[in-house]
Amino acid sequence: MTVAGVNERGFAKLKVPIGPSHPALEEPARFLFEVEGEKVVDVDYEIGFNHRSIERLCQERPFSKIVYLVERICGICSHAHPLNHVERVEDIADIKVPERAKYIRTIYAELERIHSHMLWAGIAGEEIGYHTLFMYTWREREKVLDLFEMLSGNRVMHGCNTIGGVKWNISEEQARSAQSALSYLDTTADKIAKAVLKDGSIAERGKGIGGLSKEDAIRLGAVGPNARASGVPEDTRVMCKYAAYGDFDLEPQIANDGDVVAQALVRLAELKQSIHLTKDLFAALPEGPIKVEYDEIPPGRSVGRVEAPRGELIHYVETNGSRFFERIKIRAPTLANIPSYVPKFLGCQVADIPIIAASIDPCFSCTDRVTIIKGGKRTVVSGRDLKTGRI
Amino acid sequence: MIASIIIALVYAFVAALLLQGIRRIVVAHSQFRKGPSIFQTFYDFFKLMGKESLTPNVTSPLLFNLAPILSTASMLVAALIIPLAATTSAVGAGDMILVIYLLAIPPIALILGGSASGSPYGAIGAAREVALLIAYETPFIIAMVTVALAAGSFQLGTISATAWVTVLPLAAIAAIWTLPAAAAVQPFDIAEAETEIVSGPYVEYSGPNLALLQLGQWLKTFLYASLIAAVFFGTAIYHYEPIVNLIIQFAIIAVLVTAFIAFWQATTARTRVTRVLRYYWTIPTALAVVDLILYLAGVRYMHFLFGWAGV
Repeated sequence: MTVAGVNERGFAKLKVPIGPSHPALEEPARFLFEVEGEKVVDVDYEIGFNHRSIERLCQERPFSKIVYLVERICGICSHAHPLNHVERVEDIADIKVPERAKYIRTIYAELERIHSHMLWAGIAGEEIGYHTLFMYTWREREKVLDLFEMLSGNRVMHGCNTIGGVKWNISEEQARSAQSALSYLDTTADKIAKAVLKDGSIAERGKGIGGLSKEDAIRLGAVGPNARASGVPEDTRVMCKYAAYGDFDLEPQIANDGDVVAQALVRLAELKQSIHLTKDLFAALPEGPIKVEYDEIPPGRSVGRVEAPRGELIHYVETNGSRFFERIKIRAPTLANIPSYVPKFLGCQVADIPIIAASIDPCFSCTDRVTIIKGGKRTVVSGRDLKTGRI
Repeated sequence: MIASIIIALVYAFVAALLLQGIRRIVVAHSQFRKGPSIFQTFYDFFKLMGKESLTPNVTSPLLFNLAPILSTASMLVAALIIPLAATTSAVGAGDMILVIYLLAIPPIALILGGSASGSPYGAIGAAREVALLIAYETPFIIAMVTVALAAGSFQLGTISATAWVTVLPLAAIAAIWTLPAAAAVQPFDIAEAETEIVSGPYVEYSGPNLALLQLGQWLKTFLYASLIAAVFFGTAIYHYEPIVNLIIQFAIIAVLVTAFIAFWQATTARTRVTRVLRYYWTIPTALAVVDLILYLAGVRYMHFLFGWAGV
């Protein structure tokens, strides 16, 4: 005999909503967990709370303004989006970007990865109640933002990319002080790695938590550090060799199991890798112009991939020969990573929900591309609905 | 009599809130922050007292509103019994047993309030508080019983005539070890855990109800530390003038709180509920039990060190 609300094992099933507004999430997303005691037995997720119709806006403005619009899709990947965008436009118009501009773009991209991974380490600490780690990594992260401020005059939105090159040149003096700042960050990265990987209480909260097998990671289409933590050696920087990545030998940093410790291992290894790569980039910065002029953007289409700090970022750009874009489609990395939440959450404890949610480094606002509200009610659209056009 | 009761209550209130201020500043400094004013807890408390108290619809209103009062009232009674610096105990024989029971009431009030709040976060928080209470009370009570056996009395006045840390150091370590769990800060803030369950039982409370529920917790931290100070560092407190005693006692408590609560809070991640039992039922319980067995077996291993003091 079962009592209402109590299952055959004697546990009361409880529905625990996390979000859209919850201290564990920096951005709006909604997870509905079904828990037995402390154990999660089912999970459903819903995104689309912060839809800003950026793709539509991209079609309504002249293309000179779109670089700055896509820059504002994400506050952390504020270089990856415009980088991918200008590379697509340059591909359509067949613009040959000077080598120096390519190097400067790569420097910004790697600095962005450094501060994003440090931000991740801090947030992961905060989610498991380790506020000191959060305070420490975020304090050191300020050094990267200071570096950005020195190079571009801005800390978050750098406004560095433009079609045909970059806007801000790097002087000898800036390169020198950047080198010393990066040497400091190198020792900081070692300290963070030691603090995270040698700490007993972090190992207790992270080992075996939120695991994802390699097969599941491939099947569910995980990207970026999330996929690499499960042992998928997939890194767009290595595969596509965009910007100046072709001149450097990079190894994808991988770990096994996909749990929180593996995610930390991958990101901390990439932190070190990026710091060393940025030092090399500053040292090998070629001479020459930073920008070429271009005449017209011909009709055409281009799709390309860039490794944002959170993973593979896809931009599709279609032009029609006018001042406006025909279509822009953006696939942010978090959208590809969300399905991998389900195997990570099933069977975990309620206490592990925040750290698992944070472990893939989600960015829900970047992900939200469409919200359907019919008569004040949100609906879910299935793949079949899309094919038959019954929306 | 009335005067000494008022002095004890005011002292407990001021000291408990000051301790939280000290803890927050120590934690802030170890996190490279300046931290709040030492009086921040007072500001928070009086601000909350002036706000509106809301009762959610789905709850059992009586239990929900009773829990904060129960929490604070039990602690005020305990403040009269635990020998604080300026006053002596209000009751006689067996008052230690009474105090141990009273110190368990704020967690029980949290459990009641959390369950009555009708929020899933409150329910999960209440279940976690139960596990936490069972975990840390076990080594604490064994340590206290060991001291009572050694003193031959359950009366705090008699017990605090000796500094028992010099006789039963293992029991003292076990009792001090339970301080962070009793204070419910990291790594043992599992019942609140704001990133996980949005501060659990506190989530539906507001205004004076929230203030009293928190005051109960703050008073409990202070009184728990003062009980440990009175039992294990007894003679240090009662040799001098009342004002000197007060300073010594508060210094001991402040050191206990900073060294065992604040530093621990600053250097660890929050633990999981399944881990708390394993944590407290192994080493701290073993330490307390070893001291109990050694004492019953007549082994006075500290005698060679403190023999001159007549212990």
